[in-house]
Amino acid sequence: MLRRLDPAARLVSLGVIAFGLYVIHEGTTLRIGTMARIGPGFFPIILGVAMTAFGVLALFERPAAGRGAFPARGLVCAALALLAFALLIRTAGLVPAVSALVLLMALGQPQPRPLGVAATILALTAIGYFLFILGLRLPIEPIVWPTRSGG
Amino acid sequence: MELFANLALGMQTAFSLEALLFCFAGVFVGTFVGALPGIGPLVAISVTLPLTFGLDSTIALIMLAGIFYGAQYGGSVTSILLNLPGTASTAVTALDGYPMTRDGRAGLALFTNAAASFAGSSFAIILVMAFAPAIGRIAMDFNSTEYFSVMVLGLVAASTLSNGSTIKSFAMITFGLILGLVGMDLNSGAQRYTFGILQLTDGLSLIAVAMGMFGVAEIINKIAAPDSTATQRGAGGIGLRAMLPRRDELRRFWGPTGRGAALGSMVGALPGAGPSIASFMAYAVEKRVSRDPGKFGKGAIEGVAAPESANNASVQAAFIPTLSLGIPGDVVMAVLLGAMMMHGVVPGPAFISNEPAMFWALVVSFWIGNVMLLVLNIPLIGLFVKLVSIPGRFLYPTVMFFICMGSYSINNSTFDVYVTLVFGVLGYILLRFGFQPAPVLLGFILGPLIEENLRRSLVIARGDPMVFLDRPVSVALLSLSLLLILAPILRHLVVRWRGARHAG
Repeated sequence: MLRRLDPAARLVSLGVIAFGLYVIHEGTTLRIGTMARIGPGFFPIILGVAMTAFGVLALFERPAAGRGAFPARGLVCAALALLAFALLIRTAGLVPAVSALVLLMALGQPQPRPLGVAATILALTAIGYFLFILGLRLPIEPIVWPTRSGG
Repeated sequence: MELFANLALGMQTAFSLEALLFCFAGVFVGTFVGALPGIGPLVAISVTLPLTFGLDSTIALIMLAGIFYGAQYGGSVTSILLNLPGTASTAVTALDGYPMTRDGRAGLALFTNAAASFAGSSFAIILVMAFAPAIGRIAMDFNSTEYFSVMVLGLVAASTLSNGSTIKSFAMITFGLILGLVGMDLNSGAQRYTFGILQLTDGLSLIAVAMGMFGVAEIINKIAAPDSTATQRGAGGIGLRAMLPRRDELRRFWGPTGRGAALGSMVGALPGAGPSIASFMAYAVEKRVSRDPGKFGKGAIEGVAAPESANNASVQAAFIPTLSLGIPGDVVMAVLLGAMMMHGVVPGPAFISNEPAMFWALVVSFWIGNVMLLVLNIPLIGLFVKLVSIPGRFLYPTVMFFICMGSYSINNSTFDVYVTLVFGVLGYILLRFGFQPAPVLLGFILGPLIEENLRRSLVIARGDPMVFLDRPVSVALLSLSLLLILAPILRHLVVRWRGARHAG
């Protein structure tokens, strides 16, 4: 039965096993305690053992059928969009963060259209400004201007 | 009558202008996200949750609950008109709802949907009023041992009743329980699985994890797909006249609606089983009891009424375990439970007796919200149809933007945005290989509670693990869990044995 599995599905199950073993390993560095007074390590070790066991069982399962091509571009672009937002929202402000997010999301799509991207940036910046900055008073600057010119 | 006094108490709050306004906002947003494919009520509640921190906690809950049940209405409208289920629980409705639209009977299908939804919800709300306080009172006598066993049953039910592989569901529940460990252990002060990161001392943020695994993962799943432009067929110009059923059609409405409501309430009240399962089961039951099963899939009213009544009933009934035991009846309930905790409300058996005003206001608001939905749905159908045809290239960046702002605004820190990112990518990969994200959240919410009750039980029993088999309620709950685990295995063995006998 193991032979019929595709390697990627097996890799994920092995990942689950590795994660379970890691949880056990970390758990043993904590105090386990006694049955009457269980320490902080007791429950984690049980969970780690369970996780490892389920990973082993999942190895023998038939994989979920019907997966399409792996959307590598979409995945990378969505991840980069979040990353860019997180990096820019504090240091550069709302407008750059939203622009970067929308641009990167557009790159993840099959046919990005420049005009649509510009319109989306405009609309979302407006929502962000009026709803989150003016309405909910989140401590976000629209644009963080560099303190020294050219700096 | 105690009930009327309680209802009057609830009405005081629920009919205040603020409550009505936020109830409306909740059901409106709910219908909206329910209709949009790609974002469900879970993401919507996670995004709105940080925005409600300034509100009174009752008002906040009324609104968040409105999003949850409102989404069931919105999803069915697009299922019927466009064959595009906005949420998974309304996928069954499309089986007969869409053929009705193609036959030019869209108005009737929408009316059936609205009426069945309303009937199902009403039935379940009555059950919430009748049973939640009673169960809460019984559960007041529970000690940590029973509590532990109830939660185990909840987790087991969630993994065995969900779609897909049971083993993978168990793996994901365990994963959620492990995520719940992260942070400082309240008993010993020990740091667990924090990797020395300061922000993890308080644990992972529920909202960030939920938005990652449900919102971002879903966007990754959809972003690469080419834009699907929904065609508007038979959706234009639906007047009230076209919606009203004929007398013979009305007669075919009550049976399925009633059975759907009863089944949906039962499924919904079970911890862990949600509206998707309820609607699938209701449809299957109708097909089986019908004298003419061949008409299903070709535009049978019964095929719309039963699943719609069931999924709405299950959504309302899910509040029974959530409010009376503090155990979520559904993933969205798990997030709502988290929202209660963030608002300083302690869920559990004491909730209803400690906060009667909040409980009854919430229940009364369910009625108000459902009436609003009933009225809202008729004039807004055209608008929803337009919304669904928003191309993905506008929709996904917008959803991503709200996810970013939502996770950033939890603590005004970018750390939660990174958490969302990590769980988004992880959630997508796991989903791709058949590991469902829903059990993770259930485990995450219940993890700390399970550990605490396990610890207390063992302290009381002086370390004897047999304590869980000493108390009758606990034994019953654990046996039921075991039965749920063994049932599919036994069925599998029986099928195999029969197969072998036929082959031999």
